[in-house]
Amino acid sequence: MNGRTPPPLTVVRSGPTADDDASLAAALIARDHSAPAEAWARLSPLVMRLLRRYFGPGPDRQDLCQEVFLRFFSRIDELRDRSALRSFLIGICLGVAQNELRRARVRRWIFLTQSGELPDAPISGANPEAREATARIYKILSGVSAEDRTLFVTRYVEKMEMAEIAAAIGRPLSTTKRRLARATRRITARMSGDPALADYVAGMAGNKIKAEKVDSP
Amino acid sequence: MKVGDLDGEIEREQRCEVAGDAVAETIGMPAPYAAGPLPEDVARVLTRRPRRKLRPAWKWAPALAVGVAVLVFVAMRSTQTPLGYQLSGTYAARDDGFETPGDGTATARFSDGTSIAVGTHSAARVKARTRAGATIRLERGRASFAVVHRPGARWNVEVGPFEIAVTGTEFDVHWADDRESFEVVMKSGTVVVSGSLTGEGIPLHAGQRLVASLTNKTLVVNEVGRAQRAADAATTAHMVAPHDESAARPRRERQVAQAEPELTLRDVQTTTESPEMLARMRALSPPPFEPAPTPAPAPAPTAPQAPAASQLGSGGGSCNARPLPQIRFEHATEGFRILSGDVSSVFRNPVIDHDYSWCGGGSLRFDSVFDVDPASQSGEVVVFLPHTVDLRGKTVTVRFMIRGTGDAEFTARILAGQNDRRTGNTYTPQLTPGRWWTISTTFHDQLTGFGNFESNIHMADRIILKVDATGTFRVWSGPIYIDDIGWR
Repeated sequence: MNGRTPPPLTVVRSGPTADDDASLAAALIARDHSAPAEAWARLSPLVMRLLRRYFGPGPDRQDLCQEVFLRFFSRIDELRDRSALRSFLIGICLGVAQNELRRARVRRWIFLTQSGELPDAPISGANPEAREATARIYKILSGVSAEDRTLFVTRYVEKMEMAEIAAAIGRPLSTTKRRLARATRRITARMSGDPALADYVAGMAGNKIKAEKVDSP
Repeated sequence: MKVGDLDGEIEREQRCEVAGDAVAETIGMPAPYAAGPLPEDVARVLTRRPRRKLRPAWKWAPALAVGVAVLVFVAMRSTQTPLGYQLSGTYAARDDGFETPGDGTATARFSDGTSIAVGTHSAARVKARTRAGATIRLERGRASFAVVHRPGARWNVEVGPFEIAVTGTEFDVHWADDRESFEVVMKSGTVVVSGSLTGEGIPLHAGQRLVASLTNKTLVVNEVGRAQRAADAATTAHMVAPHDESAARPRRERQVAQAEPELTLRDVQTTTESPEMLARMRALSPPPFEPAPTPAPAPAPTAPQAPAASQLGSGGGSCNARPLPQIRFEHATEGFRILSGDVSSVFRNPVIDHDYSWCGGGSLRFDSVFDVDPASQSGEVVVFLPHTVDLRGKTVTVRFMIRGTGDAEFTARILAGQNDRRTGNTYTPQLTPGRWWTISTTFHDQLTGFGNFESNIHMADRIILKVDATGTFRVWSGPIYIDDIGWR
């Protein structure tokens, strides 16, 4: 022993695996009493993140998170592939989010807020340009359909695979691709109408392409 | 997909990815335990006994909603469907209009119960239909409207340059396009007549009659008698067109020949029209009637023609000619008697009048009311002679004048009667109101008559002046004056 103290161990928690999800699903279906708490602890951050990104800057939506889990627990018997527990939950979460978005639009139509506009919330984050772009993007998303918003968030923000998205929204893969392409066209068309956002996106896209060319062998 | 399209799609995806990166960078993972503790009621959902699934019932909800929507749509369409109508009778249809021949009438029955009876030689057009009513244009002739009163009902009748706004009523309309004469006779309800000569519109109510003549630039509104209104109300419960044989009610019993003579004569000095009505008529138009004409020399009687002959006087007469007529109607005490008709008679309310006279200072005046009913298009003035007269080979002369609507047209003839038998079939056609007429009939020994109407004219006990409304304008009213009945 040289008396040197060993370097401190950094404990890294491993990411969830399909096996973990399958066992959790089995516990939920078996009505294990500890399963709800385990599911909440493991999956509520995912739901909260998805809700935040779906609705944009603003307060956390614990109420919606609870509603998602309420539906999740009550519909757990509908889960066929236990390894697809996350997709199943994401599908429920997106459904709840879409319903809430439509209700919010109705509230806006009947002027529950004085100006007809929902109050802006401050955006936190390190990159001021990204914050500005985010605010403008959600302004654009407020003008598209709930389905277009869902596809944009799942594909371009959450970076989900097409198959996952199709499973989450309950549509065939080909239909999902077609609708995503249509949503992409609509959203980019609206982005083109915002010069500042268009410049930002074009600049960032150019840098990204250059970076990809440099990285490629 | 073309290369250009593919490049564009890739570029769009890249832009969206950049936008998504910006969002992901700004809105990252939430703080630990941001969702808070798991509520117990949420956790309990998993462990409680599952409820019966509702999905099988709910899966029918879209179909049910579509069905309800279809039913609502159909119901709304049915309530917005314009009124339909059916034509019956004798008519020639053309586009959205129809016209009747000289010997036929037609009736348009609408789905709301409204009926429009169109008389002979008439033409009408259904210009527009809504669920609230319709717009009818009477292009010529006569029509009787029985519009069913409904909330929100909206009917319009266009007649020449006039328009009648209706909400629910019964009325008759006549339009003689060749003479530009227009008449509305109200039977119930109210209408508003607008158009030429009417200013801002003239409201009419039950019992009123509007007569307008574009040619003469006159418009008159007068009251049909109360008794006439009562009779009309009783007889127009179902409206029929003139000569509508299929729907016509039974012909009224003629009460002239069979009724007992009734002495109801009285002397009057002034007209019976109220001052208010006179003022109204003066305010509405120039004097609608021609004044009594200046007496003119009596025409020379023409030679009798077998079997009987008539002579049409041109108005006025030599009042000094001898011998004087036997009945001069100067007073009610000349020995004659008059058959007074009731409210259903065309001629009614006989009086000795001192405003108008052929010669002298008096005449026999009746109120006359000609109507659409065939029985009301023919009236008789029955004058019982002081004693029976042998009229064989004699010429009977009667002077008379009708102060009626200027567009009215009528025929007249003289009959001689004994009890319920009568004779005389010579018409004097195309007579018009507003002037004195002298007509004569010579009765020969050879008896003439209609069917059973034979009379022993060697013992005639009455002289009858029979007036028939003719032409297309048969609904009118006005006093008739009879004067100087003589025979020689």
